[in-house]
Amino acid sequence: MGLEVITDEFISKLIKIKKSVENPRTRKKRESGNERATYTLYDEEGNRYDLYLRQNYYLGMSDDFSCGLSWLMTGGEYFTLIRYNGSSHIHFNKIERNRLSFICHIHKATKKYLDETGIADGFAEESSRYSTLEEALFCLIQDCNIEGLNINPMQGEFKL
Amino acid sequence: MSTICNIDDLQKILCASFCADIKVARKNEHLIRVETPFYFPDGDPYQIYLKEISTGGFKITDAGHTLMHLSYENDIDEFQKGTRGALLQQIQLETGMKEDDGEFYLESASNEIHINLFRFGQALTKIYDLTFLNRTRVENTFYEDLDRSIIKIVDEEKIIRDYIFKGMESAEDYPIDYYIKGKKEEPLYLFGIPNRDKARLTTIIIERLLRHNAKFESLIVFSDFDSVPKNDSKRLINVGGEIISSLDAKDDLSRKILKRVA
Repeated sequence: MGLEVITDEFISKLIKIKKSVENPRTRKKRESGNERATYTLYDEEGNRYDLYLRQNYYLGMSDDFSCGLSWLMTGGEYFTLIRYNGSSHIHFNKIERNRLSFICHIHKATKKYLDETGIADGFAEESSRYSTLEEALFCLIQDCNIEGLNINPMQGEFKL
Repeated sequence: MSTICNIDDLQKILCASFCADIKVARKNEHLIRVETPFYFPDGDPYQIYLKEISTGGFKITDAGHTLMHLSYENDIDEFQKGTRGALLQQIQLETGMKEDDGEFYLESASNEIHINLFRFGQALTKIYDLTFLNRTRVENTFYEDLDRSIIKIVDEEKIIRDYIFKGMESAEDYPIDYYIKGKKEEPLYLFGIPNRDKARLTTIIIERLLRHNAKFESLIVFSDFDSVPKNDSKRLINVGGEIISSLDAKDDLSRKILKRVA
C-alpha cells in the first residue's frame, strides 16, 4: 500500500487503531546534535509504525523537540501521520496561509495537503497540552491508542 | 501584451518584501534568532541563529536543528557515509559551511552577513535534498536503470518481466525479475540486487528453482556488490551463475547477456 490509499478516513483509522510497542526497551542514541529513540509498533491488522522521539541538546535549544508516529508503507517509505513539535520555531500553513508563532504545534497528515502541496503533514495546529518532549509523548500515546510504553509526565518517569 | 515596469519601483518592492521576511530577535542568552523565507516542505522554517564571535563577526548556525528535522524520516547516520557523505562534504566545500556534532555553521564578517545568510540557507536546502537519495528511492532508481540497460542490449520481445516459473508450488511467491530467451533451450534468468534482503530472497528463489529441476542460466546484477554483507553475497554467488558488481560495468553486462541470448 502506497500513497494511493491515503484518505482522511484512512489516516484517522491508522491513528486510532490500537497499537503495541514491540521494543519498549530500545536504546536511546545521543549524537549528531540530538538525543533520539525510535520504537517499532504494530497494530491489530499487522501494519507497522515507527514512533520517534527527538530532543536537540544544543545549548539554548531545549524547546527544540519532536515526537511523531509514522506508518510504514509497502514500498518501504514512511508516511508521517502525526507529529508533536516543540515551540522553538514558527510554522506556516501553506494552504490556509496562516502562521503559528513560537508555540508547541501538532502536525497532522491530511489528504488535502498531500494533494495540494505534495506533503501530507504540512498542516499544523497549535497546542497547549504539552511543553516538553515527555508531555508530548504522553499526548501522542493517548491520541494514537498506543500500549506498551508506560510513562507519566507528572512523575517524570520517561526521560530521554 | 507586455507592460513596461519601472525598475526603481521593482527595486523598492523587492527590498521591502525581503526585509519584511527577515526578522531578528534574541532567543535567549546564547542565541539570536533570524527568521528567513527558507522553509522545509512541511511548513516548518529552517532554524537559523547568530552567535557573536569574540574576534568579531558572527557564527551563523542551525543549532543542530537541520539534522534533527531530517532524522524524523531518515537514518541520519547514512548522511556521514558513502554517496551521501561524499555529497555532504562537497556541499561543505562549495559553501564554506562546517559541521560539528550535528551543528551546521558558517562564520561571517559582519559586513557580509546578508550574503552568508543566503549562502547558509542554500546550503541547508542542498543538505535537505540529500533525502532524495533515501534507500527506497535509490532502489527504485536502480531497477529503472537496470531495465533501461537491459532493453538497450536485448529486444523487448525476448524479455518477460516478473516471470513466474510454473513448474512448482506457490510459484507466484518466487518471481524472476527477467526471463530472457536464451540461445539454447535454457533461458537466462536475470535478477537485480539492490540490497541484502533482495540478495537473500534471490538465493531462496534460485535454490527453489534448482530443486524443481528448472533448466536455466542465471545472471545476478548488483546495485553495489560491496554494500551487500559478505555472507549474503557469498550464498547468492554459490547458487547463482555469473555476476555483475554494479551497473557501471556496462560492457560486462552486455557481453554476459549477449553470450546467452538468442
